Amino acid sequence: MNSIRWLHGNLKPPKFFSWQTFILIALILWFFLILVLLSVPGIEYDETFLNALAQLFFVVGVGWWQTETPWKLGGFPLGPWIVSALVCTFVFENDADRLPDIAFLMWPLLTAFLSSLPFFFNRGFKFQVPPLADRIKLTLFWLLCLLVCCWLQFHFYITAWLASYPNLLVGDLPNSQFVVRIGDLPPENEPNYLGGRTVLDALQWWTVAQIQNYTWPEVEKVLFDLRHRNTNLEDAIFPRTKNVPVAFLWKPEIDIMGGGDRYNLNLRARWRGPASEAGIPSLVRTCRVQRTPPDPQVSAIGVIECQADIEFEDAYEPT
Amino acid sequence: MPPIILPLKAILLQVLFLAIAIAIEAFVWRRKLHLPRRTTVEFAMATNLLAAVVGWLVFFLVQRFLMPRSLQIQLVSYIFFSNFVPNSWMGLSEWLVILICFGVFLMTYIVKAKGLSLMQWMEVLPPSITIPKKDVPKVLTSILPKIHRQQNFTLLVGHSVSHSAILIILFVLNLRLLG
Repeated sequence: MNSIRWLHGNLKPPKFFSWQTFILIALILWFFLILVLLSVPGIEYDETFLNALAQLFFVVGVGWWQTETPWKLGGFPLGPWIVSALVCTFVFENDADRLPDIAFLMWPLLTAFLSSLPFFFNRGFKFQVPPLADRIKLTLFWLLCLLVCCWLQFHFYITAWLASYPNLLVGDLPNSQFVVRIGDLPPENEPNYLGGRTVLDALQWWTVAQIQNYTWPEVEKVLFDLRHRNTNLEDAIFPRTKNVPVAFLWKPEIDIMGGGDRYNLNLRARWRGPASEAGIPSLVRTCRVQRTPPDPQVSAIGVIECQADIEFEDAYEPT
Repeated sequence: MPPIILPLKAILLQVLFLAIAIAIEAFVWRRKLHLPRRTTVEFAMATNLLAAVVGWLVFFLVQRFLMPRSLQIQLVSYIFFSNFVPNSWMGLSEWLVILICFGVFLMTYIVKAKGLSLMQWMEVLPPSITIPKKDVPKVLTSILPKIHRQQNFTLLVGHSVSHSAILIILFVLNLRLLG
């Protein structure tokens, strides 16, 4: 009951041509829109002409209201910020009901534009160059809005980096002089191994393809090259990793142990992207290569078996 | 609530540094050219805000179009973790940071000087020396270059002092970080 009285007291137009009229028209249009949507299913409400008209009336009404009784914060009128936020929301709102980055970037710019409009018109609504005394105020306000715009853009860059470099969200960021994390990490605070698994699988695929069923001297040649780091593993696995954007941040390595007619291979994907002090563990998978049959008199082939699961190895400084 | 990364510390640092630079440079303008207090603050605010905005724009352009992937990784690593990633830029990075700082110092000075004279030309800001109306024709031919030199020199002094102060603050912040 109180809220209805509040609405009545604040929205009853004092005369026909007033801001209350505009907002009421917008509300009535939206009410009609709801009726239409209920009766005709399958209409996208934000594509209707009725919605656009209602938004227009609403923005004009709010703008008018703020020019008559402006809200101020420390002497700065908030009206332009409110109207600009409404316009950006209405214009850039997309089908997914999400606001794209550009909406946020336009917000301070549109605010600066709206705030400076009154200075470009004199009392008779004729165009004028802003008077000398106001020019510096205008310039400083524009610069301030541009700076806010840059801060927002920087935030969007950080969001983009989070997408291209996983593992940035791991743990706290106590050392950073630039960013803070707000909100909770997922309960199991596991680093995102996106890309690492791809590299490890590709490494296994390549190794198996080099060894399985080849004659033993050929297998030993491959192992010899691997042991002396003659093989460029990144190039070797590239066909399998080229479609995963973050795979290049994982370095493929193969350690070879043993000798004679049985070898143990440690396939490893090591993170070499941005990481906190604790580092990101390497992903390791062990494979066994065996001379089959073991009898040295008979010509033999190589047989390789890899374990299925992945082990995590603590990060260490590269040698 | 899913985690969000906000550049709040960067924004706070920039506000702090802008406040320090504006205070110091306004003081220098006042001491050297005897301008009214209000004008000195306007000079300092306009030049410093302009330099900040141009600096951000250049950073965005370089980051987006000119920066190789491996250097971008270093940048991201520094912004998030204050450390560098072991890759081919590793040994170079500290020197690169120093070089970039010096370049930024010079470039912001040029932006400030050009921006200041542009704003004076558009009569957004008053000239740094008030010339009696009747002397204008004489002054235009003879003293104007000198006035410009004097203004740019004052700007350079203020710019150097304020940036030295900022450097000292950064140094102290990093000492605490290391300790």
